[in-house]
Amino acid sequence: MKKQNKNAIRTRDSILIVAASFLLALLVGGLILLLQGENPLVAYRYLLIDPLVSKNGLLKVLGKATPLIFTGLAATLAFRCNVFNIGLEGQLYAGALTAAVLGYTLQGLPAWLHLSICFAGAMITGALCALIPAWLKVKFGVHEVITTIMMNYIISNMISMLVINYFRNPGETARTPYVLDTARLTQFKAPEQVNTGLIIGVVLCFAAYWVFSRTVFGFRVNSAGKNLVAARYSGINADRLIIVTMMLSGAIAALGGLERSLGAFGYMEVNFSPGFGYDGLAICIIARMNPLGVLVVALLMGLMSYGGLNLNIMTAVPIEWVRVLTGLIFAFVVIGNTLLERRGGVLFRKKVLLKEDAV
Amino acid sequence: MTVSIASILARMFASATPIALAGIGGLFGERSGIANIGLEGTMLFSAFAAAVGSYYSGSPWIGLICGAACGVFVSLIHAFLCITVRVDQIVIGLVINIFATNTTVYLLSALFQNKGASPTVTKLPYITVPLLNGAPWMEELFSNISLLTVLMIVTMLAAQFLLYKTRFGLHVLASGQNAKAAFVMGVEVKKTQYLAVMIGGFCCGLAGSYLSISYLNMFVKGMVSGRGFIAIAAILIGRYNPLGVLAASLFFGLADASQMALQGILSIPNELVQSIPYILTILVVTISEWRSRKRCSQLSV
Repeated sequence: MKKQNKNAIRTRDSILIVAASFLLALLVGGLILLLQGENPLVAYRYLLIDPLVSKNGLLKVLGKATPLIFTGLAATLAFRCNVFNIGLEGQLYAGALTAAVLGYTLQGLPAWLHLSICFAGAMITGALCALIPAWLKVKFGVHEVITTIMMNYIISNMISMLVINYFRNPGETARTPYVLDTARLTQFKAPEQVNTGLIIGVVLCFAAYWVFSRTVFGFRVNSAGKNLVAARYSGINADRLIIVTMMLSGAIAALGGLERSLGAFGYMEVNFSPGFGYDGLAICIIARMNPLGVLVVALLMGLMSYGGLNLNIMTAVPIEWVRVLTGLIFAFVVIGNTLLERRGGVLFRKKVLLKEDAV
Repeated sequence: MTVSIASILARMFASATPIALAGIGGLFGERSGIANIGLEGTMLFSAFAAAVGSYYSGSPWIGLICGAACGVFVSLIHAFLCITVRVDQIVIGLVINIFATNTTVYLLSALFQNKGASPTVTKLPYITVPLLNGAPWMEELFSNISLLTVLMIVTMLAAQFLLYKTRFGLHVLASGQNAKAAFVMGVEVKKTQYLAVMIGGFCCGLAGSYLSISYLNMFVKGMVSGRGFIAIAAILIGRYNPLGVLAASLFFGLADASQMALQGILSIPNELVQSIPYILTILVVTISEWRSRKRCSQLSV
């Protein structure tokens, strides 16, 4: 009982930390705006309030948040097992291309079958991209940070090569043709980017929450992530677990790409991602590896992402300022969490005392 | 276009310079017990600072000072967060990288109204080694060397000396191997780590400056393009000592140089050729980790 109590405080504390970091980041961001000669209050109205008061704005926010939900969740899966999957960006692109190519080449299939094939294809590609670093880590002890980053550069090169040489829409510079109607994810309101991918993402978040708090697999991942040696001694096959979580992580990141290809745009373009994969890592850490937290933080990021566009139109503030703001939040949350953990007397390596500990 | 061996070698040194400098930067932190995944971001910040310094002052030397100072400053923040606040070292590296990517682009657009690149700036002078340009191939190799390439080799030798032959170096090694034992022996562990990380930041700053005011003559968005991570690979392959890092960097430099040379010649797509350094990095790191693992298991038997 006592432990549960303590955990409840920690959840509340971590929400407080995120809120405080957000406000602090707004403060620092406001100072930057003042230096640039803009009025921060006006800017924040365009950034945070304006998108939420109109229906169109809300839809746009949801559309911007969708890929972030997938990448945030993907980062969380791997990170729970203490693996840093920095290769999300590459896995996302791989999934997006596979989905788009399957989406426009396979003709005459019923929609359910066509979509299933696209989903399977994208997930397998993403999982395979993540398998290489996972296998190298388990088999040879190569740190995944180096391999996943290198994979990002390699995949990005491969994607441009494939799109430009083989899958290019005639007359366009670097994008595939539109996918067939049978492979499109239904858009809620045509010109906006929101589509059924959003629902899939939300369902996945809840599913992940359930897996981590209620299943044996989730328990194993948590234990391996917290103390690999102890987990091994208790009979958990940690190597297999690392490979499985990495592949799942890659598959989910690939779904984020699929959502862009089949849902938001209807085609795949080289360099379409403004860093969804890297944002996913930030989201995962801000949300303290909690899948439901990922959902909330991703929506917040979506708001800031669309609000940033809005701001860019209305004032002279460049959109990158919003990304600086995101970076500030990220940094403050990391520092705040560490200070909180130190006060709680937890050793510095471990990030979170999860609610699921009590299970 | 004819490709001579001398020109490939010259390019090898040019490509190896930033990797070696950043590698030595990471090495100091690593040997003192502070892992630095943020080399990439530190280089990016420094490259930007160097370009801005050179642009506004008109003097590349001021740019170089700005770049190096920026490297020291970023590493000071890194050291503070790692040593005093004790944030997870990999996470803080990620923060620095993400922050650097976004902040440099923001500053580009705020200062120059251009999100892709800065205006052109004055470069550092290139030098020619006077005695060694007798034969034509020597001329190709020993003329037009970036000042920072020369500085890189000096830095490597200095680092080797500093790390293994001085009191401070031994303190660094001791702090990295066993901080508690070092503390008991009277080493000021935190101070040593701060100093080591900041020396590393200085080298990283030189690496970043090299990219923007010597290799190119402007800052380009995301111009470090993985060199910071290749530098980490070079540290691993070089078995955590400066001359090893130099050798590994030269290897990566050679890969990059042959990649550039191959681009026009082979009939395979350029994107594949451009991936060669990254693929090689994965392969070489794997082999090196595998060998060290084998050696460890032999020891324990």
